[in-house]
Amino acid sequence: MELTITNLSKQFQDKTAVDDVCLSLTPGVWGLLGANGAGKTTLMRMIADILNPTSGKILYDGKDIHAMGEEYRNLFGFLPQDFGFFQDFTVKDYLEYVAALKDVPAKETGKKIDSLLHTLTLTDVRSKKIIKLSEGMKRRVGIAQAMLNDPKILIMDEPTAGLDPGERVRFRNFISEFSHDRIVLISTHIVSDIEYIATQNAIMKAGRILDVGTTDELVKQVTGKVWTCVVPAEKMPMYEM
Amino acid sequence: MRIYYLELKRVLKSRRSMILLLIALFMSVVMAWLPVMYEDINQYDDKGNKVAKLNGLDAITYKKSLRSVNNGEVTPKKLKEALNIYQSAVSKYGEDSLSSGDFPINLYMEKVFPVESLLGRLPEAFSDSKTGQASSLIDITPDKLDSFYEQTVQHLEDIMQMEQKEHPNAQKQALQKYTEVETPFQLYAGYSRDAFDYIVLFIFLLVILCTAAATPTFSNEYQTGSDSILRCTKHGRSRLAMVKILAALTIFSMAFIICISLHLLISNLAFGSECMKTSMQMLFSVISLPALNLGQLQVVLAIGGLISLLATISFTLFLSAKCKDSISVILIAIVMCLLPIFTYSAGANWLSFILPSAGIGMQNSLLYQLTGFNFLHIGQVSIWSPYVIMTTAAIEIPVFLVLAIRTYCKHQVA
Repeated sequence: MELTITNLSKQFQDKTAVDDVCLSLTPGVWGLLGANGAGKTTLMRMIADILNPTSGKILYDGKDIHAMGEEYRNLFGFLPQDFGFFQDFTVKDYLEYVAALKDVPAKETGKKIDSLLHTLTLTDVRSKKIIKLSEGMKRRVGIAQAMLNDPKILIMDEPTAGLDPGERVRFRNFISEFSHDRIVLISTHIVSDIEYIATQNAIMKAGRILDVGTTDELVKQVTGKVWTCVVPAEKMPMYEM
Repeated sequence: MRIYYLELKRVLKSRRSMILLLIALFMSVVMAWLPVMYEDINQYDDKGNKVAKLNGLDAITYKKSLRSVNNGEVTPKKLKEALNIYQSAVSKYGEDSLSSGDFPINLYMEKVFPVESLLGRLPEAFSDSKTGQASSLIDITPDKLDSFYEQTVQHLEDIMQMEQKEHPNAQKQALQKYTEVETPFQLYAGYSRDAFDYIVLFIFLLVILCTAAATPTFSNEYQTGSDSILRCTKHGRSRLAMVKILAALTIFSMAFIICISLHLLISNLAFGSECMKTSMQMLFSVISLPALNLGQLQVVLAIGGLISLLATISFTLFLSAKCKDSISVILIAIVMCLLPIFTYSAGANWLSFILPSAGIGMQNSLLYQLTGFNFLHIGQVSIWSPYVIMTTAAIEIPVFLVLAIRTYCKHQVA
C-alpha cells in the first residue's frame, strides 16, 4: 500500500500554496510538520480529493485517486482543521449519518459508534447536541467520524488542537495502535504531538517539502545547529531583539 | 434509503426548518379563515329596520339562504326572470340609488340581493364591442338573454380582437378553448372571490417559506466546514447531493400538500362545498377560457402551485450548491421569488412567464393568467400564458436539479 504524490502544486491567484511536492507515503504514522501557512492544509485537502491540484498527481497503489472516486473515499478517513457539525444533531445522530455515508453496514454501526465513543471518552455525551460540547469534545467527535470506516488512509489536520494534555496522550496511544498496516498522516506545528509516534516525518515550508525522515534522522541533521540556554529573567531585556 | 431517511431526520430536526414549517401550517389556517372573517351582512326586518349585523359563518349562511333559490344551471330563462325582477325593482329609483344608499333596503334585500350573483356577469357579457365598457343591468333588454351564451362567444371575439389584434393564431386558440367550456354555467352562490385571492397569496407565502427553509441545504455546510468531512465519504458526492435534493423535495412537497389541503378544506367547509360546482365563469370573467368549476380550479391552482414551488426550490438548491454563503443564497432566492411580480408590472411578460416562480405572485399568478388572455408570441406561434408558465417550470425542475448535483460535486473546498 502506497500513496504517491508526484510533482504536486497548487496555485491560488498570486500565491503558490503547494510547490512541486513529491512524497511517497507508506504504512505507518507520518508527521507533516510546518509553521502556519506552510501549505500543510492545502496539501491535505488535495490528498483528500476535495481540492484539485494545479498540476501533479496523487496515486494510490499506482491509480489516480481522483479517477478512483468512491473506491478511494471508501479507504479514506479525514479530519479537517476547521470543520462544523449539524447544529441540531446529537453526537450519536451525527455519527450514524456519517457512518451511512461511509457505507458502514447498518448492523455494525451501533457497535462501531459505541466502541469509538468509549475509546475517545465520549460515551457520556452521546445523546448531547454537538453544539453544546466543548471544543475538545467536538474535536474528538471529529476524530471518531474519521475512523468510522476503519480507513486504510487516515489524514488528520491538526487533530490535537483544543485537546487537553491528557487527551493528547490518549490520542497518541490510540493512533499508535490504529496505524498498524495503515497510512496515517498527521499535520501539526506542535512537534511533541508526533515525535514519539511518527515513523516518518515530512517538513514543509513555503509550500515545499524540505526534508523527510524519522524523528531521529531529522534531529541528527540539526545537531550543532540548535542550542538551548538558560537566561536569568533579569537579563532577558539584554537578549531581546 | 438509509441515507435518505437520515437526511430527512436531519432536516426535520433542524430548528430553522421546523419553525418555518410550523409557520406555514399556522398560516394555512389563518389565511383560510381571513376571507371568512371578512364576510358580513346586515339583517333587516320587514320594515327595513336593522336587526343584526352578521359576520363570518353567520353572514355566509344568511347570504346563501337568500341566494340559494337561484342555485343550479344558469339558463337564459332564469337569467331573464332575474333581470325582470331586478329591473322592475330598480327602474323606479334608478340604478345610482343602489350605491348612494337611497334605495329602500327591504326592497333591496327582497328583490335585488338574491339575484345579484346570478346577474353579476351580464354587464361584462353585454359590454360595448368597441370599447369593452360594461353595460348597465338596467340597459340590457331581457329578450337579449335568450342568446346569452352566443353573446359570451361574441364578447370573447371582441375582446380577443382588442387584446390580440395582430395575432390571429391567439384569437383562434382562445375561441377554440372556449368551446370546451360547458354551458349552461352552474351557479351555487356563496363562495367569495377574495378566498381565491387568499389561496394565491397563501401559495406565494408557502413558496417563500419553503424557499427560505431550502436555502441552507448545501451552502450552510460549505459555510460551517461540515462539507469537508461529508464529501470525503464514500457516498459524499453525487449520491449525497441526490439524497439531499430528494429529501428537500419530499419535505417541501409534503409540507405544501398538507398546508394547501388544510387551507382548502377550511375554506370549503366555511363557504360550503356545494359552491365548488359553480362555473369559474360565474365568479371570474364570463369569458374565462378554462372549462373548470371552482373545485377544479382550486385543484389546478394547488397543482400549479406545487410545480412552481418545485421549480423555485430546484433553483434555490442550485444556488445553495453554488454559493458559499447562506445569506447570499437566501437574498438571491427571495429576489427570484419576487422578481416575476416586478417584471410583470414592468410589462416584461415573457420574462415573468419563464422564471421558476412565474406562477406565484398576484397579477402574474397562475389564477389571473387562467382568467386572462396573455399569450407568448414566438414568430407565428402563440402560446397561452398558463401553458408557458407550467411548461417552463416543469422543464426547469430537472434542469436546476442536475445543475445543483453537478455544482455540488465540482465544489472545491478552499
